[in-house]
Amino acid sequence: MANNTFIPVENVFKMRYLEQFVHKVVHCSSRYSNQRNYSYSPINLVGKYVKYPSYGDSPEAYFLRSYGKWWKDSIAAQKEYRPQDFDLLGAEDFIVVEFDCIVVPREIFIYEIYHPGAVIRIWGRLRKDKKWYLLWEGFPQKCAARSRKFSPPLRKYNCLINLLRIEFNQNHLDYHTAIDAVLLSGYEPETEITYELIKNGLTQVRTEKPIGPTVNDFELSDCDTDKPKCSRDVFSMLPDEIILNIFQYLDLKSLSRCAQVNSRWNKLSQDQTLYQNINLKIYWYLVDVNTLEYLLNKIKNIKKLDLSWCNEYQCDFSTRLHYDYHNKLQSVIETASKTLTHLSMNDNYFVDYDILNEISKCKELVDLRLHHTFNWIRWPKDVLTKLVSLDLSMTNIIDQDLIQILIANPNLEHLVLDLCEQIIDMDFVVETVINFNKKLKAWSSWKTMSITSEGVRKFGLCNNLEELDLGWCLMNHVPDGLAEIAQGCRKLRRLILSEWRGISDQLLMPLILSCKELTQIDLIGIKNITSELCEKALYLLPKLRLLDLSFCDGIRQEEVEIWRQQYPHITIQRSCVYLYQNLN
Amino acid sequence: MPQIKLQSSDGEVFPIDVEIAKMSTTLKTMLEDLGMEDDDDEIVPLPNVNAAILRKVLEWCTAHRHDPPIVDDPNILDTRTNNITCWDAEFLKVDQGTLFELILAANYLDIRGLLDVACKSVATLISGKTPEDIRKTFNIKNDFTPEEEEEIRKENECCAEK
Repeated sequence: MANNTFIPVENVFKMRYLEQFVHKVVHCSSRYSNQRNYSYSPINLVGKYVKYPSYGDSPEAYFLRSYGKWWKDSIAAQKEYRPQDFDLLGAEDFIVVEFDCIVVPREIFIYEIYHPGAVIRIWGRLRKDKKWYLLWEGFPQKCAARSRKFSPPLRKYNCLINLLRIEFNQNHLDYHTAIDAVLLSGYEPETEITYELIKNGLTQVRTEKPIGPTVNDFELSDCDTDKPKCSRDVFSMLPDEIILNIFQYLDLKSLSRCAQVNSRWNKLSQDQTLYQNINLKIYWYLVDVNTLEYLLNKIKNIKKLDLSWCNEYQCDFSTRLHYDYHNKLQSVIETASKTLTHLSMNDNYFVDYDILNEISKCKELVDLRLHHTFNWIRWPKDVLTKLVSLDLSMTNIIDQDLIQILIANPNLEHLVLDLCEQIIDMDFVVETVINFNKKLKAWSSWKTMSITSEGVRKFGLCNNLEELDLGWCLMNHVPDGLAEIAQGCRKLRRLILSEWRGISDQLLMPLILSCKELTQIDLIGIKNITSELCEKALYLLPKLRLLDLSFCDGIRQEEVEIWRQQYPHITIQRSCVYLYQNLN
Repeated sequence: MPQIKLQSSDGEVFPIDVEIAKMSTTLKTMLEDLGMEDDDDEIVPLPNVNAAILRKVLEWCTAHRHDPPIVDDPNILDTRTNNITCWDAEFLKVDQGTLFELILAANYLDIRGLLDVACKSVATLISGKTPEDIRKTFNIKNDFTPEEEEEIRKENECCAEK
């Protein structure tokens, strides 16, 4: 266990030192770009940095979609299914990148060129293997507004990797974070034998502390109750129901440990009431066939299940394991189908037609999150009917299937279709919503291309609408329909109209005058609006908290500065194209 | 303010406001059923709670007298353990024996708020510990045979670090 027993494998074998940039982006949970567009796209992570050490809003870098609390505060955002199973570091998003050469990792450089400080974890893995090594973790950082070559001290492993997974918590950031490149340096085995020795762990001279998010380790440190304070077994005084009351506050990992204490604890820790809500997202790196098997016996009464990020076998090392895991996932959902009300499988590679088929049999579902599940195209014939929240962002859902879902779910309140690029007639989707989803409160179709001002106009009939995200939707059409929205959507609190290029003060003014509940307005890239409109918005909207005026060329920076002083409770965003910065 | 008198198992009598007594669902039901509200001289015996614990319980009730009533709905149960208020955390800084007796008293008197926060507090003592640490902390006897223990460890290792 002692640190001094670690012998770097490069000291023993002849190895080649390498520095390499990203070869390929394998997976990412968040992007600011659509598929065909390179601006802000994850693909910009590939290769050497292009903007560093400059600092600023550069489309040549990779941007995360969200920042701060603004997205979490949305009524459409997923609420925690099992609050006691939480990530202490608060990972929100991740990317997985691949490198050409397999190395023993020694240094990693992340080139952050806009709002740095969101990286909280770095994992490494060999593509052909399933074990992730936690190379570094740390709390999100408040950083100065300048570019940064972030190189945290890595844990020492003699392991071979060619994949990196970087996790982000961007909740504390003032604006989008941007990454220009990732550099991985380390030692490459020169011979096949060296490779095999290292791969099989024969050079692992020390067993480091168990890896993984050591959430519990943080809590343990100042615990003064390790010694018995009582000479009797206090738990034996308590009836079962009280012990269950205590157990209900425990995270899954602690419950699995309680099962090993003694026979009474073992029996109680398997009580079905403790497994009504399950969140495996934070254990993504541990979840395998056995985990799912372990759950299968405990989920007879399950209500909420979060399987986001659980992609253990998304790799090429074994098709059989891939197949087993897929089947086990299917059984879990099948077992849960009678009682399940909430299901989240965001970024889960395994969601395909077969899994969807099981999902569509969960008739009690009210909350379904399938963000960034891309291995399905058609929705099964069987349709859910009780949905209140539906997140299909970054999926391949097509018009026909979406319409079918909308018609069958009269209680739908939250619909997220961001980056759903297969939808070709969004106007008709809006029309369906008007007719069949009269309770709709939140609509988001950010960066989808097929809505026209006809569709926009129809939102005026959605009288319960509180959030409307049409960012980047209307770039190629004559913007119109806002008067109808102003007329009909008096409850509107959040309005995102990024890049509605042709829009003017005159078109926006009705909204400012009638939607008094507005708290967030995003007008990114609207060149024609003037300071008059902004002043009205700031003055007339008592609940306004966020106004994004980035790239609004009609507004001068000096005016923004004055408003910021006049209205300190309102965050006024003003992202900058480029600030050259001399690091010397 | 109308008062009633509670008598602990060791004979001590505590005069308290009816309003506070009613935070205990057990006492509330009893007072209502028996129509005892106006009868100042009646003494309610509590054979399961000693004076030291009853004093603690009443201290908690007095501090929380203005809390909103707890809605019994598993859907909105707050299962986080990192949100115990400072006052409660300070209040619950007691030895294990007292903590467990408080739980039993809160259960007997049916004071949901106190029961929940005390159980939460015990949960934080369990969380993050290995099975052996848990046994040590609470002085629990391991009644598994080595074979059973190994089998159960295997069953449960899916959530353990590999």
